[in-house]
Amino acid sequence: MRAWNTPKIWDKGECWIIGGGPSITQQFHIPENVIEAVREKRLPLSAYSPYMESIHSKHIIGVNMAFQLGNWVDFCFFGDDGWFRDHRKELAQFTGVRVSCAPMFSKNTYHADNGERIKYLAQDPKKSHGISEVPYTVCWNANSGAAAISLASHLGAKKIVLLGFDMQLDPNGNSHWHKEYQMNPAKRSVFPRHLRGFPIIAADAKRMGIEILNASPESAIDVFPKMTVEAILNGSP
Amino acid sequence: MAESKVTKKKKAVKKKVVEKKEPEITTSKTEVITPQIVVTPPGMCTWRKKEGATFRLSNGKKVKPNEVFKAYPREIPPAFRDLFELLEGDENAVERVITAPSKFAIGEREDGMFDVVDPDGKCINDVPLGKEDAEKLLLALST
Repeated sequence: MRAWNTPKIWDKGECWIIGGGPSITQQFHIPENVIEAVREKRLPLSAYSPYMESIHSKHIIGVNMAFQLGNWVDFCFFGDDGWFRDHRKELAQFTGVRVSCAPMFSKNTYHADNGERIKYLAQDPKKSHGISEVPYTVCWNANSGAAAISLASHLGAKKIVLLGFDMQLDPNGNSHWHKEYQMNPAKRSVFPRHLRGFPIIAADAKRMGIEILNASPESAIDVFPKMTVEAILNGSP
Repeated sequence: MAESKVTKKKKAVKKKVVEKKEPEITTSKTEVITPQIVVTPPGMCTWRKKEGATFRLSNGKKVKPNEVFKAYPREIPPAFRDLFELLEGDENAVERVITAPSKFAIGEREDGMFDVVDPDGKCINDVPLGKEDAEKLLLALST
C-alpha cells in the first residue's frame, strides 16, 4: 500500500492528541456515575463528549479508542494490527480520517482500494524513537500515542497538547479511560517501554520548534511542561 | 506635544473600533461524499495438510504432512486446494462492512476563498484555500 502524502493543513497551528490514559476523566470533570457507566458499558464512550465540549473546536487526533468519543475527533490514529482487527466495524463508522502505521497496511495483502480509506504512514526504519521528519513515516516509539506526534508534526502543528498520556495506572489500577481493554497489573508493565521515546521526542520537538504540553498533571512523562486542560485553554503560563 | 499625544490616542481608539467591526467570515458547505461498502476478503482458516509431501504456501511457510496450521484462503493456490483439509472457518465467507461517508465537505467562504469543513462548520485547514487546493485537500482526506 502506498504511504500517505500528508497535507500540511495546520500550518504552525495547534493540535490535541487524545491518548488512552484515565486522567482525561479528571481533566474534564466527568462525573463518577458517567465514568462507571462507560466502564461497565452501560453508556457508549461518546457519553464523555458533552464534558469535553471545550476542545470540540480544536484540531483533534484520537489515538485508538478515542475516535469513539465523537465526530469532533478529526483523525483516528492506530498502530496495532490486532486493534484494527478487533475494532474494524466500529472504525468503519468513523467519519474523520483514519491513519495507521500498522505493518499490515504495508503489505500487498491489504487491499488499499477497498473503500476503508485507511491512510498508511510507514514506521521509520532508521529512527524508532522521536519525531519523524521523513515524509510518509512516523517514529513508532513502541506506542501509538507517541507515534501520533509524528502525524501531528507532518500536518504542520507547532503546538501539541497531549491528553491522557499518563503512562501509569491510576490509583484504582485503571490503565485506560474505558474498559475496551485494560492492562493486566499482574503482568510486566509496558510503561517503561512506552516512556523510552519521550526524551528523544522532547529533544526533536525543541529542535523543530514544536511546543508540546502535557495535559496529564499526574503523568509519568516528565519531559514536557505539565498543565491542566483549563490552564491551557485559558492561556495560563 | 500635548496635542499630538491626544491625536495618537484618538487614532488608537479609532483603530480599535475598526478592528471590532471586522465581519466574521462564515462558510457554507457545498459538497458531500457518499458512503461506501467494503468487502473484506475471507479471514484466516485452520487447515490440515493431507498425507504426501511437504508443501510451501504462497507466503513462503512450509507445511509438513498432517500439520495443522492457520492461513488465509488466498495463501493456498486453488490448484492445490485438494491437498488440504479445511478444519475451521469458511474459505468463501466474505464480510461486507458499510463504511460511513467522510464528514468533510468543501465550504465557500464569504470572502471567496474555500475551507474543508465538518458538519459543524469546523475547518480542518488553518489557512483559507483556493478552490482547486480545497478540492485536492478534500480528496486527500476523504478517499
